[in-house]
Amino acid sequence: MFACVTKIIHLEQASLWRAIERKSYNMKNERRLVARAQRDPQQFLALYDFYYPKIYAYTLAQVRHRETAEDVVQQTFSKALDKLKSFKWRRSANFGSWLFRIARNELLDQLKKGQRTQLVGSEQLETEPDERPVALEDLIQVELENEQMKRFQRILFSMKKLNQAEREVIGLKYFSALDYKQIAQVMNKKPNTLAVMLRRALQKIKVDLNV
Amino acid sequence: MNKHQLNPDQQRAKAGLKELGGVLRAENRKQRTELREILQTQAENKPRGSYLASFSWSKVLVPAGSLLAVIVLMVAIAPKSGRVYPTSIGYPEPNTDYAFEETAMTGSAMSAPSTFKRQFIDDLGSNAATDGEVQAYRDEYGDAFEQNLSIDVLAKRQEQFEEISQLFQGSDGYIASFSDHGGNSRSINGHIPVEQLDHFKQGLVGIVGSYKFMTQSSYGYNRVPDLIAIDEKITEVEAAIAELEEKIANEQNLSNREELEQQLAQHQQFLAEREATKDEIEDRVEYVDISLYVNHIPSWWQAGDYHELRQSFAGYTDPSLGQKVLINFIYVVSKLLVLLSYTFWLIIPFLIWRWRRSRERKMFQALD
Repeated sequence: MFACVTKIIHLEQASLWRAIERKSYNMKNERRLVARAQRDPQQFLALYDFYYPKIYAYTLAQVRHRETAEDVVQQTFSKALDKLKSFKWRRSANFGSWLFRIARNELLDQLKKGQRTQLVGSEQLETEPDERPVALEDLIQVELENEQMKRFQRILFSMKKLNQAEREVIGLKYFSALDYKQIAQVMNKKPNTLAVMLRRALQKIKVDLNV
Repeated sequence: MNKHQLNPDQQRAKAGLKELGGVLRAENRKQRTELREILQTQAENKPRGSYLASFSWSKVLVPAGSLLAVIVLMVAIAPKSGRVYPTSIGYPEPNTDYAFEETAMTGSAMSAPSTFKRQFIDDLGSNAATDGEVQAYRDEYGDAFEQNLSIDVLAKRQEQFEEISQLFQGSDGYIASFSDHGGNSRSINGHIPVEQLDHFKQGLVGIVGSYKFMTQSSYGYNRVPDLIAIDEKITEVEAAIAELEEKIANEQNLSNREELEQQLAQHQQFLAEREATKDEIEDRVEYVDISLYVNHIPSWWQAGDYHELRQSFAGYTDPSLGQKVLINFIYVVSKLLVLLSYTFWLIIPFLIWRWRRSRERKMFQALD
Protein backbone atom coordinates (compact mmCIF):
# COMPACT_ATOMS: atom_id res chain seq x y z
CA MET A 1 0.00 0.00 0.00
CA PHE A 2 2.77 2.35 1.01
CA ALA A 3 4.75 1.30 -2.05
CA CYS A 4 1.75 2.13 -4.25
CA VAL A 5 1.36 5.52 -2.64
CA THR A 6 5.08 6.22 -3.04
CA LYS A 7 4.92 5.17 -6.66
CA ILE A 8 1.98 7.49 -7.26
CA ILE A 9 3.88 10.35 -5.64
CA HIS A 10 6.94 9.69 -7.82
CA LEU A 11 4.78 9.53 -10.93
CA GLU A 12 3.21 12.82 -10.01
CA GLN A 13 6.64 14.35 -9.53
CA ALA A 14 7.66 13.09 -12.93
CA SER A 15 4.56 14.61 -14.50
CA LEU A 16 5.35 17.87 -12.76
CA TRP A 17 8.87 17.76 -14.13
CA ARG A 18 7.52 17.22 -17.62
CA ALA A 19 5.07 20.07 -17.15
CA ILE A 20 7.92 22.36 -16.17
CA GLU A 21 9.93 21.32 -19.18
CA ARG A 22 7.00 21.77 -21.50
CA LYS A 23 6.49 25.23 -20.01
CA SER A 24 2.98 24.32 -18.98
CA TYR A 25 3.90 25.19 -15.42
CA ASN A 26 1.02 27.12 -13.98
CA MET A 27 -0.26 28.37 -10.69
CA LYS A 28 -2.16 25.21 -9.91
CA ASN A 29 0.91 23.02 -10.42
CA GLU A 30 3.06 25.44 -8.50
CA ARG A 31 0.73 25.54 -5.54
CA ARG A 32 0.74 21.78 -5.26
CA LEU A 33 4.47 21.69 -5.67
CA VAL A 34 5.00 24.27 -2.96
CA ALA A 35 2.73 22.30 -0.61
CA ARG A 36 4.78 19.18 -1.29
CA ALA A 37 8.05 21.03 -0.89
CA GLN A 38 6.92 22.26 2.48
CA ARG A 39 6.48 18.69 3.57
CA ASP A 40 9.46 17.27 1.68
CA PRO A 41 12.30 19.80 1.12
CA GLN A 42 13.67 17.67 -1.71
CA GLN A 43 10.71 18.80 -3.83
CA PHE A 44 12.02 22.34 -3.62
CA LEU A 45 14.48 21.59 -6.39
CA ALA A 46 11.67 21.53 -8.96
CA LEU A 47 10.78 25.08 -7.94
CA TYR A 48 14.46 25.97 -8.07
CA ASP A 49 14.75 24.67 -11.63
CA PHE A 50 11.83 26.83 -12.70
CA TYR A 51 12.80 30.02 -10.96
CA TYR A 52 16.61 30.00 -11.21
CA PRO A 53 16.74 31.51 -14.77
CA LYS A 54 14.26 34.18 -13.83
CA ILE A 55 15.95 35.17 -10.59
CA TYR A 56 19.39 35.11 -12.21
CA ALA A 57 18.32 37.21 -15.21
CA TYR A 58 16.64 39.75 -12.95
CA THR A 59 19.58 39.99 -10.60
CA LEU A 60 22.17 40.14 -13.37
CA ALA A 61 20.32 42.97 -15.10
CA GLN A 62 20.18 44.88 -11.82
CA VAL A 63 23.75 44.46 -10.64
CA ARG A 64 25.55 43.88 -13.96
CA HIS A 65 28.21 41.89 -12.20
CA ARG A 66 28.31 38.14 -12.61
CA GLU A 67 29.81 37.19 -9.26
CA THR A 68 27.56 39.49 -7.31
CA ALA A 69 24.56 38.19 -9.15
CA GLU A 70 25.59 34.60 -8.34
CA ASP A 71 25.96 35.50 -4.67
CA VAL A 72 22.55 37.12 -4.58
CA VAL A 73 20.93 34.17 -6.31
CA GLN A 74 22.55 31.68 -3.96
CA GLN A 75 21.48 33.68 -0.91
CA THR A 76 17.96 33.98 -2.30
CA PHE A 77 17.42 30.29 -2.78
CA SER A 78 19.08 29.33 0.47
CA LYS A 79 16.85 31.67 2.40
CA ALA A 80 13.81 30.50 0.49
CA LEU A 81 14.59 26.90 1.39
CA ASP A 82 15.05 27.83 5.05
CA LYS A 83 11.83 29.83 5.23
CA LEU A 84 9.73 27.60 3.03
CA LYS A 85 7.86 25.97 5.88
CA SER A 86 6.60 29.32 7.13
CA PHE A 87 5.41 30.43 3.68
CA LYS A 88 1.61 30.76 3.26
CA TRP A 89 0.11 30.87 -0.17
CA ARG A 90 -2.23 33.81 -0.63
CA ARG A 91 -3.85 35.36 -3.66
CA SER A 92 -1.93 38.55 -3.01
CA ALA A 93 1.35 36.73 -2.36
CA ASN A 94 2.10 33.58 -4.31
CA PHE A 95 5.40 31.72 -4.27
CA GLY A 96 6.98 33.55 -7.23
CA SER A 97 6.39 37.00 -5.82
CA TRP A 98 7.62 35.83 -2.42
CA LEU A 99 10.83 34.52 -3.95
CA PHE A 100 11.42 37.70 -5.92
CA ARG A 101 10.89 39.77 -2.81
CA ILE A 102 13.60 37.76 -1.12
CA ALA A 103 15.85 38.42 -4.15
CA ARG A 104 15.05 42.11 -3.99
CA ASN A 105 15.88 42.29 -0.32
CA GLU A 106 19.16 40.48 -0.95
CA LEU A 107 20.01 43.01 -3.65
CA LEU A 108 19.38 45.85 -1.24
CA ASP A 109 21.53 44.13 1.37
CA GLN A 110 24.32 43.87 -1.14
CA LEU A 111 24.04 47.59 -1.82
CA LYS A 112 24.22 48.39 1.86
CA LYS A 113 27.25 46.20 2.29
CA GLY A 114 28.93 48.21 -0.45
CA GLN A 115 29.79 45.23 -2.61
CA ARG A 116 31.09 45.71 -6.13
CA THR A 117 27.62 46.58 -7.31
CA GLN A 118 26.23 49.74 -8.77
CA LEU A 119 22.72 50.05 -10.02
CA VAL A 120 22.53 51.96 -13.21
CA GLY A 121 21.96 55.59 -12.54
CA SER A 122 25.35 56.93 -13.22
CA GLU A 123 26.23 58.69 -16.44
CA GLN A 124 28.40 55.88 -17.77
CA LEU A 125 28.21 52.17 -17.68
CA GLU A 126 29.10 51.14 -14.19
CA THR A 127 32.65 50.32 -13.44
CA GLU A 128 34.25 48.53 -10.60
CA PRO A 129 36.14 50.60 -8.06
CA ASP A 130 39.36 49.71 -9.83
CA GLU A 131 37.98 51.30 -12.98
CA ARG A 132 37.81 48.02 -14.93
CA PRO A 133 35.04 48.46 -17.46
CA VAL A 134 32.20 45.92 -17.54
CA ALA A 135 31.77 44.41 -20.91
CA LEU A 136 28.77 42.57 -22.19
CA GLU A 137 30.98 39.57 -22.76
CA ASP A 138 31.53 39.35 -19.02
CA LEU A 139 27.82 39.10 -18.41
CA ILE A 140 26.83 36.89 -21.30
CA GLN A 141 28.96 33.87 -22.03
CA VAL A 142 26.85 32.54 -24.87
CA GLU A 143 28.15 33.10 -28.38
CA LEU A 144 26.23 35.90 -30.00
CA GLU A 145 26.26 37.45 -33.43
CA ASN A 146 27.89 40.79 -33.82
CA GLU A 147 24.65 42.57 -34.61
CA GLN A 148 22.96 40.95 -31.68
CA MET A 149 25.79 41.93 -29.38
CA LYS A 150 25.60 45.56 -30.51
CA ARG A 151 21.85 45.58 -30.02
CA PHE A 152 22.12 44.28 -26.50
CA GLN A 153 24.88 46.73 -25.71
CA ARG A 154 22.68 49.53 -26.93
CA ILE A 155 19.79 48.35 -24.78
CA LEU A 156 21.90 48.12 -21.65
CA PHE A 157 23.32 51.57 -22.36
CA SER A 158 19.80 53.00 -22.77
CA MET A 159 18.68 51.46 -19.54
CA LYS A 160 20.77 53.89 -17.53
CA LYS A 161 18.33 56.61 -18.51
CA LEU A 162 15.70 54.75 -16.53
CA ASN A 163 15.04 55.33 -12.87
CA GLN A 164 15.31 52.54 -10.35
CA ALA A 165 11.65 51.53 -10.49
CA GLU A 166 11.56 51.51 -14.30
CA ARG A 167 14.65 49.32 -14.48
CA GLU A 168 13.14 46.97 -11.98
CA VAL A 169 9.86 46.64 -13.82
CA ILE A 170 11.69 46.11 -17.13
CA GLY A 171 13.78 43.43 -15.47
CA LEU A 172 10.79 41.65 -13.99
CA LYS A 173 8.70 41.88 -17.13
CA TYR A 174 11.12 41.11 -19.94
CA PHE A 175 14.12 39.44 -18.27
CA SER A 176 12.28 37.34 -15.70
CA ALA A 177 9.14 37.00 -17.85
CA LEU A 178 6.73 37.48 -14.95
CA ASP A 179 3.10 38.41 -15.55
CA TYR A 180 1.83 41.79 -14.47
CA LYS A 181 0.01 40.42 -11.41
CA GLN A 182 3.19 38.94 -10.02
CA ILE A 183 5.13 42.11 -10.80
CA ALA A 184 2.45 44.11 -8.96
CA GLN A 185 2.86 41.85 -5.94
CA VAL A 186 6.66 42.03 -6.01
CA MET A 187 6.83 45.79 -6.38
CA ASN A 188 3.68 46.49 -4.39
CA LYS A 189 2.27 48.73 -7.11
CA LYS A 190 -1.03 48.81 -8.98
CA PRO A 191 -1.13 47.26 -12.44
CA ASN A 192 -2.09 50.61 -14.00
CA THR A 193 1.01 52.20 -12.56
CA LEU A 194 3.16 49.38 -13.86
CA ALA A 195 1.71 49.74 -17.34
CA VAL A 196 2.53 53.44 -17.39
CA MET A 197 6.05 52.78 -16.12
CA LEU A 198 6.63 50.11 -18.75
CA ARG A 199 5.43 52.28 -21.61
CA ARG A 200 7.60 55.15 -20.45
CA ALA A 201 10.60 52.86 -20.07
CA LEU A 202 10.10 51.35 -23.52
CA GLN A 203 9.98 54.81 -25.00
CA LYS A 204 13.34 55.65 -23.46
CA ILE A 205 15.11 52.50 -24.54
CA LYS A 206 16.74 52.70 -27.95
CA VAL A 207 17.58 49.60 -29.85
CA ASP A 208 18.92 50.87 -33.13
CA LEU A 209 22.19 52.69 -33.23
CA ASN A 210 20.87 55.17 -35.75
CA VAL A 211 18.00 56.33 -33.56
CA MET B 1 -6.04 52.56 -33.46
CA ASN B 2 -6.22 50.96 -30.02
CA LYS B 3 -4.96 53.47 -27.50
CA HIS B 4 -3.04 50.72 -25.70
CA GLN B 5 -0.98 49.81 -28.74
CA LEU B 6 2.75 50.61 -28.72
CA ASN B 7 4.39 52.87 -31.24
CA PRO B 8 7.12 51.42 -33.51
CA ASP B 9 9.98 52.55 -31.21
CA GLN B 10 8.36 50.90 -28.25
CA GLN B 11 7.70 47.77 -30.27
CA ARG B 12 11.36 47.57 -31.21
CA ALA B 13 12.45 48.15 -27.63
CA LYS B 14 10.10 45.46 -26.41
CA ALA B 15 11.35 42.96 -28.95
CA GLY B 16 14.96 43.74 -28.04
CA LEU B 17 14.33 43.40 -24.34
CA LYS B 18 12.55 40.09 -24.81
CA GLU B 19 15.42 38.78 -26.82
CA LEU B 20 17.93 39.92 -24.24
CA GLY B 21 15.82 38.44 -21.48
CA GLY B 22 15.79 35.07 -23.20
CA VAL B 23 19.56 35.14 -23.48
CA LEU B 24 20.04 36.14 -19.85
CA ARG B 25 17.71 33.39 -18.63
CA ALA B 26 19.73 30.80 -20.51
CA GLU B 27 22.94 31.97 -18.87
CA ASN B 28 25.16 30.39 -16.30
CA ARG B 29 24.41 26.73 -16.46
CA LYS B 30 27.49 26.07 -14.40
CA GLN B 31 26.33 27.96 -11.36
CA ARG B 32 22.87 26.56 -11.83
CA THR B 33 24.15 23.01 -11.50
CA GLU B 34 26.51 23.78 -8.63
CA LEU B 35 23.87 25.61 -6.66
CA ARG B 36 21.45 22.76 -7.23
CA GLU B 37 23.83 20.35 -5.59
CA ILE B 38 24.31 22.68 -2.66
CA LEU B 39 20.56 23.02 -2.20
CA GLN B 40 20.07 19.29 -2.53
CA THR B 41 22.47 18.72 0.32
CA GLN B 42 20.74 21.36 2.37
CA ALA B 43 17.35 19.80 1.64
CA GLU B 44 18.51 16.32 2.60
CA ASN B 45 19.52 17.58 6.00
CA LYS B 46 16.13 19.08 6.65
CA PRO B 47 13.43 16.99 8.35
CA ARG B 48 10.48 15.76 6.31
CA GLY B 49 6.97 16.55 7.39
CA SER B 50 3.76 14.59 7.24
CA TYR B 51 2.07 13.82 3.92
CA LEU B 52 -1.30 14.57 5.29
CA ALA B 53 -2.63 17.72 3.71
CA SER B 54 -3.74 20.49 5.99
CA PHE B 55 -7.44 21.00 6.02
CA SER B 56 -8.65 23.78 3.79
CA TRP B 57 -11.84 25.36 5.01
CA SER B 58 -12.45 27.07 1.69
CA LYS B 59 -13.00 23.67 0.03
CA VAL B 60 -16.00 23.14 2.30
CA LEU B 61 -17.32 26.65 2.73
CA VAL B 62 -17.32 27.69 -0.92
CA PRO B 63 -19.46 24.77 -2.21
CA ALA B 64 -21.73 24.98 0.83
CA GLY B 65 -22.17 28.71 0.38
CA SER B 66 -22.90 28.30 -3.33
CA LEU B 67 -25.48 25.62 -2.63
CA LEU B 68 -27.15 27.77 -0.01
CA ALA B 69 -27.29 30.70 -2.41
CA VAL B 70 -28.93 28.50 -5.05
CA ILE B 71 -31.52 27.22 -2.55
CA VAL B 72 -32.35 30.74 -1.41
CA LEU B 73 -32.75 31.78 -5.03
CA MET B 74 -35.06 28.86 -5.77
CA VAL B 75 -37.28 29.60 -2.78
CA ALA B 76 -37.42 33.29 -3.61
CA ILE B 77 -38.63 32.82 -7.17
CA ALA B 78 -40.89 29.79 -6.61
CA PRO B 79 -44.47 30.61 -7.60
CA LYS B 80 -46.93 30.41 -4.73
CA SER B 81 -49.95 28.17 -5.00
CA GLY B 82 -53.25 29.85 -5.52
CA ARG B 83 -56.25 29.73 -3.33
CA VAL B 84 -58.92 27.14 -3.92
CA TYR B 85 -62.26 28.48 -4.95
CA PRO B 86 -65.64 26.79 -4.81
CA THR B 87 -66.95 24.87 -7.77
CA SER B 88 -69.60 25.97 -10.26
CA ILE B 89 -66.99 28.15 -11.89
CA GLY B 90 -68.25 30.26 -14.73
CA TYR B 91 -71.67 28.68 -15.08
CA PRO B 92 -74.22 31.40 -15.62
CA GLU B 93 -77.05 29.28 -14.31
CA PRO B 94 -77.22 27.80 -10.87
CA ASN B 95 -76.77 24.09 -11.10
CA THR B 96 -79.58 23.25 -8.77
CA ASP B 97 -82.20 21.88 -11.07
CA TYR B 98 -80.99 18.37 -10.58
CA ALA B 99 -81.02 18.77 -6.83
CA PHE B 100 -84.50 20.24 -6.94
CA GLU B 101 -85.87 17.44 -9.05
CA GLU B 102 -84.32 14.87 -6.80
CA THR B 103 -85.69 16.38 -3.66
CA ALA B 104 -89.05 16.87 -5.33
CA MET B 105 -89.19 13.19 -6.10
CA THR B 106 -88.14 12.14 -2.63
CA GLY B 107 -89.98 14.91 -0.94
CA SER B 108 -87.10 15.72 1.34
CA ALA B 109 -85.34 19.05 1.54
CA MET B 110 -81.98 19.37 -0.27
CA SER B 111 -80.32 20.67 2.78
CA ALA B 112 -81.08 20.81 6.44
CA PRO B 113 -84.26 22.77 6.99
CA SER B 114 -83.91 26.03 8.75
CA THR B 115 -85.44 26.31 12.18
CA PHE B 116 -87.95 29.01 11.33
CA LYS B 117 -89.98 26.82 9.00
CA ARG B 118 -89.82 23.58 10.86
CA GLN B 119 -90.96 24.93 14.15
CA PHE B 120 -94.38 25.56 12.74
CA ILE B 121 -94.74 22.21 11.13
CA ASP B 122 -94.68 20.26 14.31
CA ASP B 123 -96.98 17.47 13.40
CA LEU B 124 -95.40 16.58 10.13
CA GLY B 125 -93.83 13.26 11.06
CA SER B 126 -91.24 13.39 8.34
CA ASN B 127 -90.20 15.77 5.63
CA ALA B 128 -91.42 13.44 2.99
CA ALA B 129 -94.26 14.31 0.69
CA THR B 130 -95.64 11.91 -1.85
CA ASP B 131 -95.09 12.41 -5.54
CA GLY B 132 -98.76 13.06 -6.02
CA GLU B 133 -98.80 15.70 -3.33
CA VAL B 134 -95.75 17.44 -4.77
CA GLN B 135 -97.22 17.39 -8.27
CA ALA B 136 -100.52 18.70 -7.00
CA TYR B 137 -98.79 21.51 -5.22
CA ARG B 138 -96.71 22.33 -8.26
CA ASP B 139 -99.79 22.51 -10.36
CA GLU B 140 -101.25 24.95 -7.89
CA TYR B 141 -98.25 26.95 -6.74
CA GLY B 142 -95.54 26.39 -9.29
CA ASP B 143 -91.92 25.49 -8.30
CA ALA B 144 -91.42 26.59 -4.72
CA PHE B 145 -87.68 26.78 -4.46
CA GLU B 146 -85.82 29.05 -2.04
CA GLN B 147 -82.63 29.90 -3.81
CA ASN B 148 -79.49 31.27 -2.22
CA LEU B 149 -76.68 32.39 -4.41
CA SER B 150 -73.12 33.10 -3.37
CA ILE B 151 -71.13 34.96 -5.98
CA ASP B 152 -67.46 35.96 -5.90
CA VAL B 153 -66.48 38.65 -8.32
CA LEU B 154 -63.13 40.11 -9.34
CA ALA B 155 -63.25 43.82 -10.10
CA LYS B 156 -60.30 45.66 -11.57
CA ARG B 157 -61.56 49.19 -11.08
CA GLN B 158 -62.95 50.88 -8.00
CA GLU B 159 -65.92 52.24 -10.01
CA GLN B 160 -67.05 48.67 -10.59
CA PHE B 161 -67.73 48.33 -6.86
CA GLU B 162 -70.40 51.04 -7.04
CA GLU B 163 -71.84 49.73 -10.28
CA ILE B 164 -72.27 46.30 -8.77
CA SER B 165 -73.99 47.73 -5.70
CA GLN B 166 -76.41 49.61 -7.93
CA LEU B 167 -77.21 46.47 -9.86
CA PHE B 168 -79.52 45.28 -7.09
CA GLN B 169 -81.77 48.28 -7.48
CA GLY B 170 -81.56 47.95 -11.21
CA SER B 171 -82.93 44.42 -10.88
CA ASP B 172 -85.89 45.47 -8.73
CA GLY B 173 -84.15 44.13 -5.68
CA TYR B 174 -82.66 45.62 -2.55
CA ILE B 175 -79.56 45.40 -0.42
CA ALA B 176 -80.06 43.91 3.05
CA SER B 177 -76.55 44.45 4.40
CA PHE B 178 -73.29 45.85 3.19
CA SER B 179 -69.73 45.95 4.46
CA ASP B 180 -66.63 47.47 3.00
CA HIS B 181 -63.34 45.74 3.87
CA GLY B 182 -60.89 48.55 3.45
CA GLY B 183 -61.58 49.41 -0.16
CA ASN B 184 -60.15 46.22 -1.64
CA SER B 185 -63.20 44.07 -1.11
CA ARG B 186 -66.86 44.47 -0.38
CA SER B 187 -69.56 42.14 0.88
CA ILE B 188 -73.16 42.74 -0.21
CA ASN B 189 -76.15 40.71 0.88
CA GLY B 190 -79.26 41.46 -1.10
CA HIS B 191 -82.44 40.05 -2.59
CA ILE B 192 -83.77 40.19 -6.11
CA PRO B 193 -86.89 38.69 -7.65
CA VAL B 194 -86.40 35.28 -9.20
CA GLU B 195 -87.44 36.51 -12.60
CA GLN B 196 -84.72 39.20 -12.47
CA LEU B 197 -81.94 36.71 -11.78
CA ASP B 198 -80.86 36.40 -15.38
CA HIS B 199 -80.88 40.13 -15.81
CA PHE B 200 -78.80 40.50 -12.65
CA LYS B 201 -76.20 38.02 -13.81
CA GLN B 202 -75.98 39.54 -17.26
CA GLY B 203 -75.47 42.91 -15.63
CA LEU B 204 -72.72 41.49 -13.45
CA VAL B 205 -70.93 39.95 -16.41
CA GLY B 206 -71.24 43.23 -18.25
CA ILE B 207 -69.57 45.08 -15.38
CA VAL B 208 -66.63 42.73 -14.79
CA GLY B 209 -66.13 41.95 -18.42
CA SER B 210 -66.24 38.18 -18.55
CA TYR B 211 -67.66 35.09 -16.90
CA LYS B 212 -64.16 34.10 -15.93
CA PHE B 213 -64.07 36.90 -13.37
CA MET B 214 -67.01 35.46 -11.43
CA THR B 215 -67.64 32.30 -9.61
CA GLN B 216 -70.82 31.23 -7.95
CA SER B 217 -72.13 28.53 -5.79
CA SER B 218 -75.77 28.10 -5.21
CA TYR B 219 -77.85 26.14 -2.83
CA GLY B 220 -81.42 26.17 -1.96
CA TYR B 221 -84.28 24.68 -0.12
CA ASN B 222 -87.14 22.89 -1.63
CA ARG B 223 -90.15 24.51 -0.03
CA VAL B 224 -92.82 22.41 -1.63
CA PRO B 225 -93.08 19.95 1.26
CA ASP B 226 -93.01 22.85 3.69
CA LEU B 227 -95.81 24.63 1.93
CA ILE B 228 -97.83 21.45 1.62
CA ALA B 229 -97.45 20.81 5.32
CA ILE B 230 -98.33 24.35 6.24
CA ASP B 231 -101.38 24.32 3.95
CA GLU B 232 -102.56 21.14 5.54
CA LYS B 233 -102.09 22.57 8.97
CA ILE B 234 -103.84 25.78 7.99
CA THR B 235 -106.76 23.79 6.68
CA GLU B 236 -106.89 21.81 9.91
CA VAL B 237 -106.73 24.89 12.05
CA GLU B 238 -109.38 26.67 10.00
CA ALA B 239 -111.66 23.69 10.42
CA ALA B 240 -110.99 23.70 14.16
CA ILE B 241 -111.73 27.44 14.31
CA ALA B 242 -115.02 26.99 12.46
CA GLU B 243 -115.99 24.22 14.88
CA LEU B 244 -115.11 26.33 17.89
CA GLU B 245 -117.07 29.32 16.58
CA GLU B 246 -120.13 27.12 16.22
CA LYS B 247 -119.71 25.75 19.72
CA ILE B 248 -119.35 29.26 21.12
CA ALA B 249 -122.48 30.37 19.36
CA ASN B 250 -124.39 27.47 20.87
CA GLU B 251 -122.88 27.58 24.36
CA GLN B 252 -125.07 29.03 27.12
CA ASN B 253 -122.81 28.46 30.05
CA LEU B 254 -120.65 31.54 30.57
CA SER B 255 -117.61 29.79 31.96
CA ASN B 256 -117.64 27.18 29.22
CA ARG B 257 -118.05 29.94 26.72
CA GLU B 258 -115.08 31.79 28.10
CA GLU B 259 -113.01 28.65 27.89
CA LEU B 260 -114.06 28.05 24.30
CA GLU B 261 -113.27 31.64 23.41
CA GLN B 262 -109.78 31.19 24.86
CA GLN B 263 -109.27 28.12 22.73
CA LEU B 264 -110.55 30.01 19.71
CA ALA B 265 -108.08 32.82 20.34
CA GLN B 266 -105.25 30.33 20.56
CA HIS B 267 -106.28 28.69 17.32
CA GLN B 268 -106.59 32.06 15.60
CA GLN B 269 -103.14 33.02 16.79
CA PHE B 270 -101.81 29.70 15.62
CA LEU B 271 -103.44 30.26 12.23
CA ALA B 272 -102.02 33.76 11.93
CA GLU B 273 -98.53 32.49 12.65
CA ARG B 274 -98.85 29.73 10.08
CA GLU B 275 -100.06 32.14 7.47
CA ALA B 276 -97.21 34.48 8.29
CA THR B 277 -94.79 31.60 7.87
CA LYS B 278 -96.36 30.68 4.56
CA ASP B 279 -96.09 34.29 3.39
CA GLU B 280 -92.48 34.36 4.45
CA ILE B 281 -91.72 31.16 2.61
CA GLU B 282 -93.49 32.41 -0.47
CA ASP B 283 -91.53 35.65 -0.23
CA ARG B 284 -88.35 33.70 0.05
CA VAL B 285 -89.30 31.63 -2.91
CA GLU B 286 -90.07 34.69 -4.95
CA TYR B 287 -86.78 36.34 -4.09
CA VAL B 288 -83.26 35.05 -4.52
CA ASP B 289 -80.87 35.71 -1.65
CA ILE B 290 -77.59 36.85 -3.05
CA SER B 291 -74.35 37.04 -1.09
CA LEU B 292 -71.98 38.95 -3.28
CA TYR B 293 -68.29 39.25 -2.46
CA VAL B 294 -66.48 41.74 -4.65
CA ASN B 295 -62.73 41.49 -4.59
CA HIS B 296 -60.47 44.05 -6.11
CA ILE B 297 -57.83 42.60 -8.38
CA PRO B 298 -54.93 44.63 -9.73
CA SER B 299 -53.98 44.84 -13.35
CA TRP B 300 -51.26 42.45 -14.47
CA TRP B 301 -48.50 44.99 -14.10
CA GLN B 302 -49.59 45.75 -10.55
CA ALA B 303 -49.97 42.13 -9.41
CA GLY B 304 -48.11 41.40 -6.21
CA ASP B 305 -47.75 37.65 -6.47
CA TYR B 306 -48.24 34.75 -8.81
CA HIS B 307 -51.84 34.19 -7.76
CA GLU B 308 -52.88 37.79 -8.47
CA LEU B 309 -51.09 37.68 -11.80
CA ARG B 310 -52.89 34.49 -12.71
CA GLN B 311 -56.24 35.95 -11.72
CA SER B 312 -55.69 39.14 -13.68
CA PHE B 313 -55.42 37.05 -16.85
CA ALA B 314 -57.69 34.10 -16.22
CA GLY B 315 -59.92 35.15 -13.36
CA TYR B 316 -61.32 32.09 -11.65
CA THR B 317 -60.86 29.79 -14.62
CA ASP B 318 -57.83 27.68 -15.46
CA PRO B 319 -55.57 29.63 -17.81
CA SER B 320 -55.05 28.35 -21.33
CA LEU B 321 -51.62 27.13 -22.43
CA GLY B 322 -50.77 30.46 -24.01
CA GLN B 323 -51.89 32.30 -20.91
CA LYS B 324 -49.82 29.99 -18.72
CA VAL B 325 -46.73 30.67 -20.78
CA LEU B 326 -47.35 34.41 -20.63
CA ILE B 327 -48.09 34.36 -16.89
CA ASN B 328 -44.96 32.38 -16.09
CA PHE B 329 -42.83 34.55 -18.34
CA ILE B 330 -44.05 37.74 -16.68
CA TYR B 331 -43.62 36.20 -13.24
CA VAL B 332 -40.06 35.04 -13.83
CA VAL B 333 -39.05 38.38 -15.38
CA SER B 334 -40.56 40.27 -12.45
CA LYS B 335 -38.72 38.06 -9.98
CA LEU B 336 -35.47 38.58 -11.85
CA LEU B 337 -36.02 42.31 -11.72
CA VAL B 338 -36.68 42.08 -7.99
CA LEU B 339 -33.53 40.01 -7.57
CA LEU B 340 -31.63 42.54 -9.64
CA SER B 341 -32.83 45.35 -7.42
CA TYR B 342 -31.73 43.43 -4.30
CA THR B 343 -28.34 42.63 -5.75
CA PHE B 344 -27.91 45.99 -7.39
CA TRP B 345 -25.35 47.02 -4.83
CA LEU B 346 -23.37 43.93 -5.73
CA ILE B 347 -23.71 44.22 -9.48
CA ILE B 348 -22.34 47.72 -9.85
CA PRO B 349 -19.07 46.99 -8.03
CA PHE B 350 -18.87 43.70 -9.90
CA LEU B 351 -19.26 45.48 -13.25
CA ILE B 352 -16.67 48.06 -12.24
CA TRP B 353 -14.32 45.29 -11.24
CA ARG B 354 -14.87 43.49 -14.56
CA TRP B 355 -14.27 46.67 -16.51
CA ARG B 356 -11.03 47.35 -14.64
CA ARG B 357 -9.79 43.83 -15.22
CA SER B 358 -10.63 44.02 -18.87
CA ARG B 359 -8.85 47.34 -19.17
CA GLU B 360 -5.77 45.97 -17.40
CA ARG B 361 -5.74 42.94 -19.65
CA LYS B 362 -5.88 45.11 -22.75
CA MET B 363 -3.12 47.35 -21.40
CA PHE B 364 -0.79 44.46 -20.78
CA GLN B 365 -1.68 42.63 -23.96
CA ALA B 366 0.17 45.28 -25.90
CA LEU B 367 3.08 45.15 -23.49
CA ASP B 368 3.43 41.34 -23.48
